[in-house]
Amino acid sequence: MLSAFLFTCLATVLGALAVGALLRRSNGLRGGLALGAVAGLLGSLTTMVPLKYCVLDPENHMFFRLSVLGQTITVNAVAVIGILLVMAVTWAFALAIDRLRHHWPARGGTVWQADTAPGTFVGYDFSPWIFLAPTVVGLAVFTYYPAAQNFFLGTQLARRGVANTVFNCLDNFASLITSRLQDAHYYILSDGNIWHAENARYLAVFGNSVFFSLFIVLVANALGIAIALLASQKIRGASIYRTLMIWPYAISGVVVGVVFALLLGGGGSGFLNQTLRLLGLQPLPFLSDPWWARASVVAAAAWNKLGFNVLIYVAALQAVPRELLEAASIDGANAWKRFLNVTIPMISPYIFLVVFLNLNYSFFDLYAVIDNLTEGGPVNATTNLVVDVIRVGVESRDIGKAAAQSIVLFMVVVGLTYMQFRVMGRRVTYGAD
Amino acid sequence: MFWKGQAREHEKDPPLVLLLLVLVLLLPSLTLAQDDDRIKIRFFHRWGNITWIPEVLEPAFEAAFPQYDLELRVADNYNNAYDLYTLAQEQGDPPELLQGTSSNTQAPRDSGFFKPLHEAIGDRTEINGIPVRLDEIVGPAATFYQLDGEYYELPWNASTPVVFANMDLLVEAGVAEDVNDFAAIPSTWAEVNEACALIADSFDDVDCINFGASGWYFENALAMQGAFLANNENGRGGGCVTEVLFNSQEAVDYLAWHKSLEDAGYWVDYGRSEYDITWANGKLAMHMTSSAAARGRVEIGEGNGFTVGANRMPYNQDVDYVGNTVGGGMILLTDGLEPEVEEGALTFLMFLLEPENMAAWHQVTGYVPVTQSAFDLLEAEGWFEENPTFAVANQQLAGSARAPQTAGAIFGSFAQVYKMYREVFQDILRNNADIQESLDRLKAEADLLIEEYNLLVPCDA
Repeated sequence: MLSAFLFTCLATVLGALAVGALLRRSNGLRGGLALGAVAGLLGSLTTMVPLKYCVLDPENHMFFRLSVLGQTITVNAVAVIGILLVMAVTWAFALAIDRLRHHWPARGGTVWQADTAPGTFVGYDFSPWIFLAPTVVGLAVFTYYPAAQNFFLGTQLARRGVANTVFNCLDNFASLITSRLQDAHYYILSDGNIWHAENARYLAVFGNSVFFSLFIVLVANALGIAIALLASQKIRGASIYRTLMIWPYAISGVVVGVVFALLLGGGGSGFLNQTLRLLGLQPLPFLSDPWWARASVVAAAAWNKLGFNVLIYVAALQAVPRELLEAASIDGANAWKRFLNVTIPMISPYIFLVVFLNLNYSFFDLYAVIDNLTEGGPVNATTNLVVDVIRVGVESRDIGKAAAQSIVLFMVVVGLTYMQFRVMGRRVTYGAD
Repeated sequence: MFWKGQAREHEKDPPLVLLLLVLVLLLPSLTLAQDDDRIKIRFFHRWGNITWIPEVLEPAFEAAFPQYDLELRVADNYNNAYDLYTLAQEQGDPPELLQGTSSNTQAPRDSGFFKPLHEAIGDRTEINGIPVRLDEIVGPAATFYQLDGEYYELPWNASTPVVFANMDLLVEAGVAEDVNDFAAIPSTWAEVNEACALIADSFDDVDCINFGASGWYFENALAMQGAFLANNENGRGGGCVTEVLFNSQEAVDYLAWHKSLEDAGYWVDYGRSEYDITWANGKLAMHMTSSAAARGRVEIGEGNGFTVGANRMPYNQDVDYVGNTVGGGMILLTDGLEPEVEEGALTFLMFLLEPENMAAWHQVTGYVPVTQSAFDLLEAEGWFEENPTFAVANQQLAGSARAPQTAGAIFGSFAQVYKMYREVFQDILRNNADIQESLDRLKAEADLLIEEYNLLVPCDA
């Protein structure tokens, strides 16, 4: 009881200091401190009360070791996640309160009237809610409630088909960064490593997702632009070539996985290996060596996305004004410089669109390709976040751990979407202005 | 303009008379549907690719028992079937019968969804005129699905691992004298290595043996050596399973043998379904797999001009052989059914065990005929003599002891543990991970899952 009280007090004080400092410009020092204190109090209560202050229980622990510059410390993963959670929720409360404070209507007005931005809704107090109701109800029933349930499940030891669940604090989350059997060990600039992790299975899965995303985006876009450039040439039968180049896009992930499995099969039967054997060469371990298997997944997925990318880039290239290219040509720019300084900036909105669509695809839609090509193997080398969620939640029926994993996925979606808005809004040329 | 447009739109509307006509035409079918007062028995199974079930079995059952309407529902694998069944339970309308898998027996028992078969049958000796043939079920197929001597589920598609061989390749390599010399197919670990050495000497482009780096062979390897998979005699000795025994000497020996095949290049790990192509191309000498693959193996052999033989799963020649275990699936009966529906579901289950139905099921697939009467019928017809490839599984199970080792382990997280094998085995085979250390780790991880499951479902044995 005492520790819970002290924790809440500490969260309130630290919340006041941190939020006060960060939001002092818009709220003043006193206002910022007050806002931070309220946010800290709400942040700690709304997270720790449902969690029954379990992170303070000395028996609730899962440790990992962290070595930075040769110094090693042992960290309680459950406590760290608990503190991060309180901080995140406190910050969310602070932003929400800050926004409400600054947009709260004067007496007699409405929240909506206070906003002077174009497109402001003006009307009676209750009328917006009537119009919003169908959407809000839909979102509440089909999105927010399941999301809340998912957070709840993330704190449970739960199995599909077993009615009973057991509260297990933040263990499901902690097990993503360490293991109950063997502490994970993270090295940062230590023991001759810039970065190294031991016994961090989920981190490796996360790394696979990042690897796939980077390389699929890179390969599918570089090839996409190259092929689109070729396909944009005025040659006889161009439309046939374009159609042929686009068709892989119409193929489902399952078919892509199966086709590449037949092509790259590791034994004597894969088409490529049979060809190699016919040429008197040794077969290659396309699907049985971890790095070859990763490369195979990238190849299959990039091929699948290539058609879509070519489609967009062909359209994008057609939209590049001829006059600009001609002007650059007159100024003495060679083909490469014209491409780099005129074409690329002009098609940059399309590049970013395609990059983010490809990123979303490679993070969230690779399951069918991986399941049919490598089944996540060998030794998890091609298991990414989505494959792992399905493994844990559907195949192993451990819905508590899967819920925790899906929250990580959710955070990735939020991160990618945020990045998308930032980059698309600021760094892309949408025309001459 | 406005009125003109509206008028045009009305012209396109179907006339009311047409709608009425459609309704009138639909009426008889609605009446017919209401007239069907047969009792519906929904059977959720995973064999969508076996057309014998809807084309022969279903009409035969409905002809024999016109009061029942057997409705088949199909999932693509056991896991999906159980998943969809769980959903149906959550929505309050589950199918009456579900096909489950041998690697997931305890969790369904703990779910409360199902009624133990022995409770539903009671002390009756026949149901709807069909004899109850549970006491005819043979060997480990019986013990696997029994708890304290009583059947919880109905064994249906039972199989056991056997080795199929391309006899033409074995003869050419000097392993066998002629293509009908099935006894020459290696039946011990040492014999496999010797045969593979001969095959490697004889061919450049033939792989010696393929089998899955998976749990089933591992479990069989332990049972064959008389070792337990889990403590408390596989959970059948009066106490619940609290730990697995994956790191025993027998387990290490099996994986050391498997690793020796890998190191010598005798064992080849194919991707999904790839063995089919290699097998069809005549480039794979031996394939250890489920006896249920007999039909497929033989047909591919016939289609590609080579003879297919079969022999028992190779055992450790240095240890006394105890017995093999079964795999495959069983059928579970939903609890809480109306008495007449439960009677119909039980009737169908007993119908499956009828000698001619069980024998036909074996012939269509290769699954073991689990009842003695079905086996006798097949033998009387000369089936095994004509098709010796199909006889091996029964011989193997007949030679297996009815013991807790061959009855398989029962614990709720078995299916989860099952999925962990592959990762560890690949680590041993591909990455040269230390066998004992890997198995110690596998055991520790499996024990943690068991501990978690026992927290959710306290063991009351």
